[in-house]
Amino acid sequence: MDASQLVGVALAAVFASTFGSMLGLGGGVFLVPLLTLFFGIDPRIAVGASAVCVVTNSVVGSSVHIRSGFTNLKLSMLLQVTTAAGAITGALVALRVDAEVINVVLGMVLLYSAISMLRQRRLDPPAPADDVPDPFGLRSSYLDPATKRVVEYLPHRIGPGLAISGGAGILSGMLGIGGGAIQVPLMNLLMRAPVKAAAGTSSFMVGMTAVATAAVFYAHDQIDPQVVVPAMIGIFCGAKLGSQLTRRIQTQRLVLVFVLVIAYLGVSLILKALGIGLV
Amino acid sequence: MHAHRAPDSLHESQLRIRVARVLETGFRVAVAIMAIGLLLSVFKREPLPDTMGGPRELIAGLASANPGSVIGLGIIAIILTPIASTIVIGWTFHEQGDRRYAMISGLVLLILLISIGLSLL
Repeated sequence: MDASQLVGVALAAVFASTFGSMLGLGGGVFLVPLLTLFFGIDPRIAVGASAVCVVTNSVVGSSVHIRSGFTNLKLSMLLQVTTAAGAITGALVALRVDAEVINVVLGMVLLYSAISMLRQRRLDPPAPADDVPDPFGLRSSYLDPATKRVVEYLPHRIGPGLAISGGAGILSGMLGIGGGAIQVPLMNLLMRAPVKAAAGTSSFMVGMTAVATAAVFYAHDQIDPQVVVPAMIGIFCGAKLGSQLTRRIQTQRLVLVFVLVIAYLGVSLILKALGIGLV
Repeated sequence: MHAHRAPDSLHESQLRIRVARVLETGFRVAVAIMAIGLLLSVFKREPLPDTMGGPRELIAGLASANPGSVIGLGIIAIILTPIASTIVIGWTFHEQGDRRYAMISGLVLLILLISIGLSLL
């Protein structure tokens, strides 16, 4: 790679990680097409670099989200049990299921989530009363710097949340994605967590899920330092920027950006299954 | 919503600070190792390799201060940081007497280690 390509990879990583960190996604869904399309990098090497970058994005972005109080660490541990178990299951059965079917199912789930988030607009649910039972000790709060208000919340429907999170893990294992595009709507729509708490919690979780993916690519010698090093420099800048934007952006705008991104992902997955590539 | 800052329990604050520190330290250590690798690459006039090599190659490369191996170690350090944060979360819950979440964190750690083990097979 020459100097201009190194700078280009770093800039692509800044873009991917800014949106990834801001929205609670890993950022790999943006980085892989950018690396393959604009820099001619082999898709396997791009996915390997992406796995390392998703971990890096999560590590850098989560530290800001955690200090801001957006990340609910108890909720992340609870959901990670079924997500991680689902990811193993997904990776083990990936070869036995038609990838096109998975892409269509995931695409439809993402489109449904986008439409639901747009229609319901569950931005910041009302603060739960003090006498509402909290059997899992998940009640939490954070100061939203954009509105200067404290947002209190209590995640609901833990059982269904765990089950769907396991499904998100299975899809993550099958498709090699972080799962944030499913986890954020799940926490917001089903479990009634505010969007910023959902994004902050998901941002931490995708890093843990991507560790196993990165290990796979390391084991198969498909992590290229020539790509990873400049990408990590870009990730560092983008993750900091994205997590700061989450603090300052109005929740309505964050929801709109998220809806647009997951709708795009949903459509592109369905088109991909039909043999039509958007990118 | 309320217009005042909600009371953040001491346990929650302690957990958040510890986990944020682990993540920040993990990233700084990884970047420092990779920076050393890049400097070695410049001084030795060796271009960056296009693969990391397996564990044995990595250890042999580190023994001879191979720039690519040093950078590879930095990449491994960042990959291991979420594992370290899970250990710290579990330990902090244990210290705080929250046995339920200490066990849940331990279970997450176990599943992550199994998934890495299966990946490397």
